[in-house]
Amino acid sequence: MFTKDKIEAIDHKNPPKPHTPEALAKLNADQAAKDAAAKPVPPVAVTPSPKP
Amino acid sequence: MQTQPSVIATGDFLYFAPGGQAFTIPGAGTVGAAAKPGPTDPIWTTFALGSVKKPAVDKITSKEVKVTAPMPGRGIITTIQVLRTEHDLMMTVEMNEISRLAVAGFYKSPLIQLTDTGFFPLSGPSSFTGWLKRQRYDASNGLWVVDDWWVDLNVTDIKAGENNVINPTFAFTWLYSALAGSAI
Repeated sequence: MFTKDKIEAIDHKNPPKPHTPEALAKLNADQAAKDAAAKPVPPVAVTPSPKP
Repeated sequence: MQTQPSVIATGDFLYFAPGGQAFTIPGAGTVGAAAKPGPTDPIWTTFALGSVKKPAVDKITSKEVKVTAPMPGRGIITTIQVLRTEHDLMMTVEMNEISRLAVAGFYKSPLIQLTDTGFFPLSGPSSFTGWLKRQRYDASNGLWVVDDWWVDLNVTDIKAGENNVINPTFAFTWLYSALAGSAI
């Protein structure tokens, strides 16, 4: 069941002020760096054991 | 919650948060199917769609599959159930203004950022995804539904309408996200 706690309205008479170009560029750059740092380490390739 | 049916002369307000853009409310993240910005985040108004010329039109198309079986004790086959196995939900809306989203969506350029001074047609992705928030108000300023849809954005038309004003037409296709829904 959906509730308004989850689906929230924007105050259209007083909407959030848009980002300035500089603020948005910095925010995107910072978040991209965070996302890159949070990427999981790829699994290490398993070396097959030598045949007897 | 709307308790009684009522006649609605609606006005729609649309906001769009493009996928891949950073947001900070309710926490830091990147807009995506599993990450939706809060209603006070500035990303909702940074890539503004503009004002709605006419209320949006929703359309659902479903693929129907009829299950048939003989009626009990008779050799006549009838439909006993209708299954709809595929759904497609679309919203089309005409806007009053040309926006950066309208230009990028129609000419298929990359998302036009605030600092961009130009754009290059046909050089962008084939589609944009993002969160679409639609708020429908009745004639007495009552908010009666808030829709949060994770959508594909396409601009299908950018024609000049009455009085030589250009009205872009947006088509939003609903995509699955566990965070999507509507509050009434």
